[in-house]
Amino acid sequence: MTTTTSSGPAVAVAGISKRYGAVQALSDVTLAVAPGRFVSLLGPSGCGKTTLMRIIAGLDRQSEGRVLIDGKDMSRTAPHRRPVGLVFQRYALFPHMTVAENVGFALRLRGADRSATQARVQELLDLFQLGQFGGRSIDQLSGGQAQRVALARALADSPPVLLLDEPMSALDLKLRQAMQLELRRLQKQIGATFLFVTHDQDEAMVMSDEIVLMNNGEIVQRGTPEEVYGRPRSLFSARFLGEANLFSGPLRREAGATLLDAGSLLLKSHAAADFAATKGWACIRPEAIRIAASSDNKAERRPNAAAGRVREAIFQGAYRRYVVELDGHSLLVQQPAGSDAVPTFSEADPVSVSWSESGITYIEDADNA
Amino acid sequence: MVAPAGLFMAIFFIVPLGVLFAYSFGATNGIDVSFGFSLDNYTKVVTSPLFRDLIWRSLWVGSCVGIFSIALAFPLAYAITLGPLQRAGTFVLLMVIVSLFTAYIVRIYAWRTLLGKQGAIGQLLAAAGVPGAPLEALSYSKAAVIITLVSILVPVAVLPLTSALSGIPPACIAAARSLGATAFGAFARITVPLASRGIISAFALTFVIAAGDFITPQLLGGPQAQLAGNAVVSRFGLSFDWPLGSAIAFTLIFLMGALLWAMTLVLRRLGIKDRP
Repeated sequence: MTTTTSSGPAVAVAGISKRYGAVQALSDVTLAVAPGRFVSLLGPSGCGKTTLMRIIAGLDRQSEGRVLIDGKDMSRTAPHRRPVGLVFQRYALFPHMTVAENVGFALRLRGADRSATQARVQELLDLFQLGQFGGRSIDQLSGGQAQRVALARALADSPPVLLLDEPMSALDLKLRQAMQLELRRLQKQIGATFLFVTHDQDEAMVMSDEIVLMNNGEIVQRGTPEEVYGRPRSLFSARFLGEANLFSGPLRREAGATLLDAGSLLLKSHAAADFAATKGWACIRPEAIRIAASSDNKAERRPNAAAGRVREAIFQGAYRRYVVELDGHSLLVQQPAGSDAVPTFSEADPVSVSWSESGITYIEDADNA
Repeated sequence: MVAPAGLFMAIFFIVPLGVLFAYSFGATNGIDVSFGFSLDNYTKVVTSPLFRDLIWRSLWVGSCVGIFSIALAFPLAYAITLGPLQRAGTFVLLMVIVSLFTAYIVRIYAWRTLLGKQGAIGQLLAAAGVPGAPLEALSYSKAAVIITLVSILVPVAVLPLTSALSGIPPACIAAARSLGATAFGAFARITVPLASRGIISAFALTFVIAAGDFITPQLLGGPQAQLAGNAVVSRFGLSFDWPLGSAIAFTLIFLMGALLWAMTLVLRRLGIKDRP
């Protein structure tokens, strides 16, 4: 029963708040996760993402609000009655049990018969390439193996929802990247709903169908990785996911276009800013900027283009990055490397930069941003 | 580091114990002790109903004290490690250690004033008009010895239990809950097995101290609650039969070791290993 029968959300929280004394860990969080989706709760440490996950699992009790799992109100249900699996940061494997005993724990608790348990445990161990490790004790496992055991244990009783709390933070980079793809494949294969807590924006983008970006106990933005990265709705979103060139200034609307005047730079887009303020920010991602050789350093001001000098040129293997010094601004530019079609520049080269209208996202100038 | 400690143990523990062990195969004429290879003393210990009773009673009282001490110490150790008193943990532990500094004799006398026939508990019961209050059972009895030793040894049991429980990751318990274990199920399947090493140490410590005690039974026990230690003391101090006293002591040591070993074996059979 890895797929839910109802068509409603697999997990939904409504108006969840959580206070620890005077500390407001979560304020009025509402979220619905469709079945079979891989959703990341992304945010800096202390943003409330782990608290939200623990509330869904029933390990912490919300101060206000409701938790619905597969359409049923489980706001006050004990953790052992909630149909969710849980994978912890440090795996939390039971050190007094073998690998196989760990994996079979949920099945033994449920009173499944011995041969069925054994078969299911072996199936899971094989799925996670742990076939011959069943009899090992936990302290004989490497980090990656322990992580797979924790996954197998959480999946043993086929929970329709799996909650993962930064399960890869203890792995080294290479292993983490391999596990990200493996986990993504696994999720597609079993079709369960995965709710993945992470502070690592790359990890969230690689794996997720949907990113729920959190900050200060609130959901800041949610959407596909493309939406959240490409159309940040706040300065926090723009800065937290990837890198951003941000310019602030007065906004002017004329002839169906929105213009932002940032001193020496003029940004213009026909995609209207979806707010009415007369002051705001523009975000341009470094890879949306074109860079070309230029001898003319005194070009007149044109929208969406500027001239300047390369201050730093950094080669990073797959791409090159330039910090371009403009009049009063510095701009981060990223270009793919390894292609003859893309010219390269060195420090102090005069260059002109430009971007298309679609590369601009206007952000409202919120006071708390 | 090990060599000086080993030397210390050799000089102040192994050698005196070895001398005592040698005595237990010797004989005495009331004035001098002569060494030998006779098993007479052990035969006496095993065949005499008096010594047999004393040793069994020691093991029995020791086991009761061990079990009751753990029963009382565990909730406290749990509360300050995984339970609701975590913030007060250091303070509570400090109080527990301070109570260990209180003189042992003082606490025994304190219990004597509480448990005696004219003691506080007895007077309270009488004043409350409880008819037939079992005052006889409280004063100068095995119960009095057990109550007093438990009160003295609970702090001793708290320390290894706290150390073991503080090593249990709360996430392990949360993981068990999420895998379908009730609060009690997680306690029985995760907390207790992971604390088993501390439980075994706490039992061993309190059991050995209680079973070897001779002061509490002397002051509070009365004739029906003397322990093997009293017999040893009187062999050495009164009748000057050092070889027999040594034999009683070594029989007790051997049986305590055997009991602890058997207990660990049984627990291992039950799947509770004495490792974290």
